[in-house]
Amino acid sequence: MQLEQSPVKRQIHELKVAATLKHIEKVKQFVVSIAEKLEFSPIEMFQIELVVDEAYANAADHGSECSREKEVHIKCIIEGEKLIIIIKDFGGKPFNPDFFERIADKKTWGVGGRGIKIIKEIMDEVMYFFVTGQSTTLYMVKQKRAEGEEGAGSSPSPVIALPFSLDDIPPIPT
Amino acid sequence: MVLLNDNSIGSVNCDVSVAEQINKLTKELEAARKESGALMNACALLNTTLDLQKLLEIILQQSAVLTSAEASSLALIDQKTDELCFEVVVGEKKDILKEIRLPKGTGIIGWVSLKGEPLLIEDVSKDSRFYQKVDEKSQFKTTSILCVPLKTKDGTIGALEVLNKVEGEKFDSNDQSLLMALASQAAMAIENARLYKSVLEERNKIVSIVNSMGDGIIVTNENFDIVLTNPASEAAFGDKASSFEDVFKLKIILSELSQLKSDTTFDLVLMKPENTILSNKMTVLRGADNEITGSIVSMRNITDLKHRENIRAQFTSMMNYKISDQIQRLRESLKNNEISSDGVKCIAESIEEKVNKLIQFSEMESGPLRLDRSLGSIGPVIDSALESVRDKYAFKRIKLNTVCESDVYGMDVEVDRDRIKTILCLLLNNCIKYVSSEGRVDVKIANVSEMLEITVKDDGIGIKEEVLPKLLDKQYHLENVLNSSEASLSLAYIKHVVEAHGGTIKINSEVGKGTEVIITMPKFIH
Repeated sequence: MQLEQSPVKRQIHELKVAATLKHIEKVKQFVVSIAEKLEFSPIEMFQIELVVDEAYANAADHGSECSREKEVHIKCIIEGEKLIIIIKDFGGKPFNPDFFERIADKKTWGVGGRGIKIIKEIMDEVMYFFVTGQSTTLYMVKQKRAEGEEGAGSSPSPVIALPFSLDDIPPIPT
Repeated sequence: MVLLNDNSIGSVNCDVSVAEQINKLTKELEAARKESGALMNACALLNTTLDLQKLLEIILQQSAVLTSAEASSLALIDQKTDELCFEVVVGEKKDILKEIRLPKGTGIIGWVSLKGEPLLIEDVSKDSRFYQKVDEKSQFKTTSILCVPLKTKDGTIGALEVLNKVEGEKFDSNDQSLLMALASQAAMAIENARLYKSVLEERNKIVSIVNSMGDGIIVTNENFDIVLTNPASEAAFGDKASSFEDVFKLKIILSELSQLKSDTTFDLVLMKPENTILSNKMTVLRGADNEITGSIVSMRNITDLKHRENIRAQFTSMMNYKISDQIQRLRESLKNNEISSDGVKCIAESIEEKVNKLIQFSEMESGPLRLDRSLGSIGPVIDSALESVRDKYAFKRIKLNTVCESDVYGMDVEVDRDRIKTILCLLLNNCIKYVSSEGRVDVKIANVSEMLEITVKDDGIGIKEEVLPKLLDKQYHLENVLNSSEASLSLAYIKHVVEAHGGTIKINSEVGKGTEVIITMPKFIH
């Protein structure tokens, strides 16, 4: 299966880095430099940066436990007006992204845990591909839209409107 | 004038004879060349199709052309019935002959098929083997027949015959040789077409099986390009904009799988735009030399299963967090002397309620309850439950009416007394939520056909008809608890306890009129 072999024209760019959070800026710059070719709006560029930040941190930190011996592969593909971002880590530790996305609505404790929710809010397509013991691949697509056109991440995200309040803890009588 | 002597005459005669011979040989050679060309042409045509019906037509056309016959026909042995079946015949009557089936060994063609030897009959009227009825049906007058067997490596599969040489001529050994040569090639071509047909039928069978499967199936070739999919896999990757093979994320998946080169299990979580979770297995197909010839990817949709798991995980996470958060807040308030004894009681009750939810949840999750049954009268259990809610009822001025005849009060039952008390308390506490102040709740204990029947009836707000079927469903209540602190698992838990006692629970309700819960269970273990 050759990804290049298709009637659809695609530009494929790839970056491989050691699985450490030190490379997060390098990864963001790599994705941003390719996203710029599609002339996304400043807000969309910020959102893409945010998504890469969350996705790479998950891959390097949770996926690979920041092991320098493991790599994280980042692929950026331009297909027409679409930016496809693929982030693959080799930790091989499956998790349930659906759970994390759902719990993000209710979670008011601890730090983190909202990355997947943010990614889903911003991107147009999101898919996780787990091979237990081998790899986790996150596939995301951001479609460039005409000015004023509604799309993923164009409405204010409830994720960003944090923190949530607990509704069932009774007021403490003093 | 030229004078010729005897010698010269002899010499001329000799020259003429040689010239005639040369001329004759040249004609024969030319005829042989033409026949050979026609035979090669006929054999080449046999290789142009794998469609059995078309192939038979070509064989018949070419056999008639090759032997200058008025008509030709072909019969194949039906392996199931052993009959001879006329597949096709060239000429105006071919439809009629297609319907003819002959018993084994019948007619000239039957004899040839049976013996596996060719037969040349110049006058069929003098041959007892000739089967007249075919002529009667086809209204064709057969005078002479040249018939040859169709042989493969496994034996005779039928016979090919040409009828009546044109312009009154007779079939000869040369025609026989030509027809034998054609028949040999034709038999092989028929066998290939039959094999191809059976392969196609097998393939169609496999496609039908694959299409009927609930699991998604994707079959690829050695390059991991898709060669077969079924509706379930197409539904999982539904993309109206592009054809299934062009769905890019599927290409990504197959590209990743192609690098693994061995049987692999993997999960896919399609979060957006779909909401599907697939549990998958790729099986690599290998050839005789262990080279990869393709792969089969089977995909099981486990979205509902995962959703249920998620709800459970969310429920326990939330309860655990809320309990620890309340304990932390209580600890801080006590440290700073910011809380009264009523405050402590209020938080303790809130924590207890959550712990109870967790206990009920874990009991329901861990399968059938292990009941602690003991023998004794039912009355004290009912009293104890009523006593524990009496203050709350009095506070809301709800009338709590009990009907329990003295013989029923003292009736012996063999139940888990603590759990029966618990479920009765849960039911009565539920009523408080939905019965207005000054309302009424009736509790009736009865002995019906040697069964213990507990009925709790209120005149509260009632339950909507569409909600009634879900009321005893654990999943429904778990989802409610996640979305509302008012929701509880009690009805699902009550059902769990009642069923552990071998009983049933029934709920009747009407909006605005109230709700009635009827629990029926055996008094003793049978």
